[in-house]
Amino acid sequence: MTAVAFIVVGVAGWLLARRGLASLDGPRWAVVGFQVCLGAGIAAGLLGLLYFALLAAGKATRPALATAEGALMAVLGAWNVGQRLRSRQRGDRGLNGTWLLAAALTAAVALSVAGFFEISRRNPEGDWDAWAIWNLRARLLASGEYWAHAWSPLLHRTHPEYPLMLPLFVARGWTYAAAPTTSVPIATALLFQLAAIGLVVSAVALLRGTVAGLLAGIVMVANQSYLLQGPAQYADVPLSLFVLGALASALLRSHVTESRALLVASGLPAGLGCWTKDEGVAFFASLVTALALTERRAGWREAAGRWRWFGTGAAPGLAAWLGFKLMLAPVVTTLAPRSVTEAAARLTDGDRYLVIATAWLQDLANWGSWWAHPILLAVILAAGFGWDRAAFAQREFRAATLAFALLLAAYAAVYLLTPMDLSWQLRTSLPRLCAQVWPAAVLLFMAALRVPAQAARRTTAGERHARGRGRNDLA
Amino acid sequence: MGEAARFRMVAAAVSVAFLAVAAALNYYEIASQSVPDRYGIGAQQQRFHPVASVLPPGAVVGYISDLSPDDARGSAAFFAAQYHLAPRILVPFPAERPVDWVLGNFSRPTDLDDVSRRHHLVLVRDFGRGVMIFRRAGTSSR
Repeated sequence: MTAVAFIVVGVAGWLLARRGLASLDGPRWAVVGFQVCLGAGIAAGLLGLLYFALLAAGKATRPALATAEGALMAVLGAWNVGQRLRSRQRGDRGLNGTWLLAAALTAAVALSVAGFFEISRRNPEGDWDAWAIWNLRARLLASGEYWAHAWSPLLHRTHPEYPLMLPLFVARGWTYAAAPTTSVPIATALLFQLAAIGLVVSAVALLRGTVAGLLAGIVMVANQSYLLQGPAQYADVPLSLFVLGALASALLRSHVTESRALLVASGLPAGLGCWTKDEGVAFFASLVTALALTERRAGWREAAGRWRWFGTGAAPGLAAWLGFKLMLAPVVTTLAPRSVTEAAARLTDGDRYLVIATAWLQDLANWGSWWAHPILLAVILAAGFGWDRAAFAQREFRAATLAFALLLAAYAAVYLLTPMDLSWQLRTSLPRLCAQVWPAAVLLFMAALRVPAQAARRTTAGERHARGRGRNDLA
Repeated sequence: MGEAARFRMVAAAVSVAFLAVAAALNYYEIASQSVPDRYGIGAQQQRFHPVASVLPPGAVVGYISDLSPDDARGSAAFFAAQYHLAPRILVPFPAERPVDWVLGNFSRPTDLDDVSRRHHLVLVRDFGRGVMIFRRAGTSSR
């Protein structure tokens, strides 16, 4: 039954995204890849919420769960009847050498997955926070009668105030499995990590063509620190998928004539990010601020329409997070300074800046060996391909980049202001924060690169004809 | 696009592909050398499994140990017990609120009479391997 739990996520996610994102245009494999990978993440979040509703109703049994999800699948299936994939492209066929990049990506992903299983075989319970926080709360949720223990203020040093997306999804899998087996959190971790890799590849392929998409995947899996977060079974990789999904959907708006669905698709993962980790709230605020700033020239009617669609997408995750924080979770403010004077003292302490910068550099060194460091790979690509200056002028790119920069600034501000021991805080959290933003960093980097196979520019009729040109440039 | 630019792009793409596969190989080697059950969480399951049959599932249970909860070993021991005994909630003992049950989790042989006397507890069962259940003196047995 464990397999069924994950098949449902894949199928439900694809059905949701297939209809919802039918306007996407580009290489067929990239369209389907984007729909499947983003859909799986969104479905994981939404199915977790459905499970939460069943828990609240006292009906979170395997038959009830299977019935509810079966009914949902039937609705999604009916919604998809008659839906055809718009894309007629089968990929960048004329590009000799694409096979080499595809083979390299396949090999790198296969080795990453093999490494994932090596670590999971040795540590099936995951790393520290998995059994001390995330899977512990999943166990509490899956316990039936005592599910509300998951946010009990009596829980000692295990953050009962943390959002519940990941624990709910794991608990749902355990309800299917009828036991808290280690296979469920392991499969969950693999699902999110593979979905993040697949989403980077497909999103960049839709934005910049197949070559860029494959290179994006290659750069992404070169980050060992990110790969190590997968088998740890923490919530940071799921959050990285949501950050990536929200930014990728926001960026892809420049490539379609009708962007309402992509606004919903941007809002959904942004909202679910809040429901995954508190850092997701920082991302949500960053994205909303960036969109507001970059779209302020649009008329209020147009802007209101856009916010309505974005808000519709964000609603489930945001409402779950708000409801949980306001009504259930104990209030904890460990990261906030106790007074304005204290905050000002920290902000003006030069040593803290130095400590933070040094820690960032030290963490950067752990991303990989110097000879295959992801930053080195990025430098090689930038030197080889150069920058696409037109991308920097694009409103959607500016919005996504600004959201990303604001998120990094928020992280830096938390470190500057934290009343906890700064060195300890950096040591225990920085690799995870880097993992949260890594896929989005790769997306933005590749979106700014001048890769000569831009498979999907704006879908005006004239540009569709022009799109084929330049595909052979790398051959 | 000129020949030089094309060569530069191909060289960049091929180099990155080659280096990334080498990086993935390196990652696999690192993963293959990871320490099994680094914090002993899996191994603790056997120690705590019989305890679950004694403690009521919804109970708030005091936790007493010879390991400091402030160091990594003591924290790992506490969280391992909490993880394997969920949905029971473990709270450090003496607790802020009264608890009927107390879990003992000791890394070394311990004088149980002394523990019972000092904390006004009654030993309910010693499961061996440093794991035992106490009740507060004066509370009725289950």
